[in-house]
Amino acid sequence: MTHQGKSVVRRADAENALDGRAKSTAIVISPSADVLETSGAYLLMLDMPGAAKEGISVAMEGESLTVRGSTERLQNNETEVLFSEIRSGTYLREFTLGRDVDREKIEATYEQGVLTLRLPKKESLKPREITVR
Amino acid sequence: MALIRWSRGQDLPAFPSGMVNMQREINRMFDSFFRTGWHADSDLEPSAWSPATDVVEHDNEFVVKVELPGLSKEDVKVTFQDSVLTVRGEKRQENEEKESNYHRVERSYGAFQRCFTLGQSVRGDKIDASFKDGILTITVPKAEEAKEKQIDIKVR
Repeated sequence: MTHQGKSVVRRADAENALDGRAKSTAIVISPSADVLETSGAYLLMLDMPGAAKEGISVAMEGESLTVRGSTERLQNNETEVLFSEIRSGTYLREFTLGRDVDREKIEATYEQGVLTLRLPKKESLKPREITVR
Repeated sequence: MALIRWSRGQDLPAFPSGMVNMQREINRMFDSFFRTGWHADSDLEPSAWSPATDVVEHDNEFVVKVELPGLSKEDVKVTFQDSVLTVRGEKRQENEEKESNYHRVERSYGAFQRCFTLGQSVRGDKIDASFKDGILTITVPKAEEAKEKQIDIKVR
């Protein structure tokens, strides 16, 4: 069962997935992610604090699932920044989906700065027990 | 400048230059490498992780922003005592579904604490905190006497 999950996140680095939509000057942030597998689905949880819900997009193309989001930061010259650790820029991360994911049923929710993607497994591929008669 | 006790070595100015960003990136890489164990963020208690923070000074107030994705206001406690603003809390690894395997855990969990010593006199009773999209914003108004006043001096 654990082996199936590896295919979901074969390549998780998204830096090379930058396309024309992301400005070349913007910093690309690869959000931290947890990947969890249950008997019925995979769960992806991505830390994307400060991203506006409207600005988050989840796109699927072929085997890849791309998550994008942008943070809004104040650009006020009348303030003095005492220290700055929060990175501002564009969130971008790409995942490769395994064949067992039912692409039609993927759900996404954004709450408290965390994007949760639920990737249900295909019914036909779910483990099932066969009764011995 | 009114903040002291800052030890992560990341106090780089927020210049929009690529070089500084690169420097920050490198610092962060080293930081995240060394931060895997118990990390003493303050003199008081060790923290399991240290949320990224911005502090900005306005004319009338300081604004502290702390990145706390996945936490709700019930998980966070903000206190102010003896000029020290403390943000503490705990992020628990919640698992609703019983039979599950983790394939990848990159997000930070556990207790954290960050302290900020405010050297300038502030109005402790007027500190306000709000939570939105995983970012805790704390507004600390300056006391009247601490506001910089411009005085025009007549040249005779």
